[in-house]
Amino acid sequence: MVSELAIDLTMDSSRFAEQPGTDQELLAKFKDMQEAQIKSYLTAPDSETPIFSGGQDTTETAPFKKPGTPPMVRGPAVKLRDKFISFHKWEGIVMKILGDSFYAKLTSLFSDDPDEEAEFSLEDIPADDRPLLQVGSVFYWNVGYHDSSIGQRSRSSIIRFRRLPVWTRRDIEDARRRAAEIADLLGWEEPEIPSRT
Amino acid sequence: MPPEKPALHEHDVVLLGDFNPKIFQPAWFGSEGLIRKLEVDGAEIAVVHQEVVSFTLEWLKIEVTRERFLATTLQEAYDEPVRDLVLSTFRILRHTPLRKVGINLDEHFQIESEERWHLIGHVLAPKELWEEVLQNPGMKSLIIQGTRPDNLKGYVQVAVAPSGRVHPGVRFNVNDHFEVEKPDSVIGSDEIMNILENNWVESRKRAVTIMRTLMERLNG
Amino acid sequence: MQIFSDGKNLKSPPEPDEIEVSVFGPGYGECVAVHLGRNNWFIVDSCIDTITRKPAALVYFEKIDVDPSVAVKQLIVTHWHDDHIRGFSKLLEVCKSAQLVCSTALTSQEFREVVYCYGVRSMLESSGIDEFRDVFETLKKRKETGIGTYTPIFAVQDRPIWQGDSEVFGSPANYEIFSLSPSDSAIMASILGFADLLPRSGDTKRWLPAISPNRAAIVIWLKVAYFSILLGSDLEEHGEANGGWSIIVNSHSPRKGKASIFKIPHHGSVTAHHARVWDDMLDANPIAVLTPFRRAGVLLPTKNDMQRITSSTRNAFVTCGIPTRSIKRDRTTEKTIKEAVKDIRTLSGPSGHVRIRLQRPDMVKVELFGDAKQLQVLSTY
Repeated sequence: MVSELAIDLTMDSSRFAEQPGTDQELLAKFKDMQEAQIKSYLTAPDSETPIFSGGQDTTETAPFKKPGTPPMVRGPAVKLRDKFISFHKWEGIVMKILGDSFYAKLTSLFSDDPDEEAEFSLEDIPADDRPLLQVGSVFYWNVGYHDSSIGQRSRSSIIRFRRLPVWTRRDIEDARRRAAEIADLLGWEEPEIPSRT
Repeated sequence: MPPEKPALHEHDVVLLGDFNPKIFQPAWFGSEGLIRKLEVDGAEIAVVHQEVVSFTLEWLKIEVTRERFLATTLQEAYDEPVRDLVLSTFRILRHTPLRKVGINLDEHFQIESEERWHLIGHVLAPKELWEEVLQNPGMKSLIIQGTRPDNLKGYVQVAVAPSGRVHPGVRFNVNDHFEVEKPDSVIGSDEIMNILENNWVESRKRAVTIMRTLMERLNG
Repeated sequence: MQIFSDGKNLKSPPEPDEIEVSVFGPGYGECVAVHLGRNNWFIVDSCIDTITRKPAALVYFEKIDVDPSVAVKQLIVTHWHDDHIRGFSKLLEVCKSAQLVCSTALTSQEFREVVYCYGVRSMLESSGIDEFRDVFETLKKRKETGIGTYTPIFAVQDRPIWQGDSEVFGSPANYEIFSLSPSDSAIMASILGFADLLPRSGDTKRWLPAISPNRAAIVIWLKVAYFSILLGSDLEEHGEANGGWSIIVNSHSPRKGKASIFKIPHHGSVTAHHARVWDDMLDANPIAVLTPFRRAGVLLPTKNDMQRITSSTRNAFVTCGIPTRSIKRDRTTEKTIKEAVKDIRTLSGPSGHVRIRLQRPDMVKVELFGDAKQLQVLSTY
């Protein structure tokens, strides 16, 4: 194999390539953007050969760079960030809330293990997620290594509650409509209390 | 041999449609309760413009142009939250016309030796043919596309290349690509969001199986 | 009575004139399959076999070479809770000749709306409700294909839901099945309860928790010749004259006699106990079977429950031990989990199966398969 330089995943920015005007006009127009970023759109196509290329674009929804396409957004140099490496993860459902803990049913997202149940401390819920805690709430629980931006590794677990959209009036009306439709289809009438025979 | 754990991981959801990028700012996601308030406050904004928005959280990167929406994470712990975020966003913005979605998994695997690494390249792209026309040919990348295993429109594409981040290493990318049935008449996001919601789990299983199978065959 | 726990003969089907009651329980969920002679089978509720991940009843029928598509006459869903309905839609799909029996409350507009609110585009897996969504779809397919009935029989207090001719103990016999519950008021309370579960616009989506206590589960009475079976489902008792077990024991029911086999309700909990059930509805020392339960720190049956039950009958059995095991993982993962949570256990354990067969009233055979055991043995946990 041939060794390759790292290439950022980028997207199609053909829209920028179509913009008319001088460099100075464009610089003024995109004043929210850093000068270096804007210049990247104005310069000649990147000469770096992308890893994945082909005559026909078959990678529309794979965020690769197409030949000759400037990078979408080239931000500042990569900042070292904290990172979490999972050993295992579950989807949890809150079953019961006690004074300082809650019970959750856990379904493994890594394997076909049977469902489990665990008792969690309320203190382990991030403050921003506390309002989401109620019976029936769903969360992700990961255990793994936390690697800090300065290279310190520690074992850790993270809980993140699922932020699902609310039920809208449309959702509820849809459900009402489907409920009526299935009864119609099956020829069911609204139940009366049947008589004993 | 137990399955290899990847050295690097990336998961993306890419949507193609018609977007108004300026909506997709951290403050909007926060106001809809889709990310935490602290995450809104800590967001690193690269650009906010009517043509493009890009920002990064600790676990998420969002890039939106008029035609494309991309949500990315480099941490496996946040793959499902990325999916949830996209689903929630476009259930709220259900009038956004969406035509295609790509569910992508990109992983880099360490190979035990350079000899094995070269052998992998040779298995994927046998050199005998190329040695007739090139000096010292080496595989730079290979893309194979297959038809979808379900009744949906689209394809499944696998790309393999030497890793530029892990050496010696191999990079796999699985692009699970779906399209609406009638792109000219799409008026909202429901069809693509239903596809994403109903297929994400299966797509993930498929991508993992593809990578695992290829690694077992190539790496022994 | 003979008790066998060697696990042999699992694959032998019942004789054509033999009564069988099989109770399956993987530690989370239960299912009862009853044979009333001449290959007439009835299934009550459904659970998933932990090894095959298929409905436990179907796994069993495959082993004893019974064709469920013709043999099963009724599928009874006693209530909609998660642990009693997993795999039920698959049963309905496979058991093409079976008629669905359920509470009329489960066909109400309110319940259907709950199913479609929580089970469709909710981005959640709510297994009990999802299962019902699939039940509706299967009924729809039955109507479209013309194969199988799609209108349920509604179970209500003291209603006969099946009658037929069979042969047991070497002689022709007539059999009847009654639903002893829910009462009219329980049905109404259920429907109102479903309306309370309906989300309002602006509510955050979440998984649907089960309603407790359970006042509206279907209790089944089966009678063949002079032999009766009482299946208690999950019905609880809270001292209300119009509900629970009180209304059953006080009813002027057309059922006669006492049951010799009893599926103990609600995992043996004291909240489902009514002394008059044991005194008035059951023979002395009936064969009693229960399934254990573990959820949210609640373990059933408790030690007190076991003492109470074993003092009421010598012949008490449980489908499996209360799940207490944890999954073994690599050391680093285990260590991290232990640091993160107070306790972690599997919800279900090894599956167990208690099979009761009667070829003659004086020839009762109880076979224990998998993790099934006598309740006295469980007392020592």
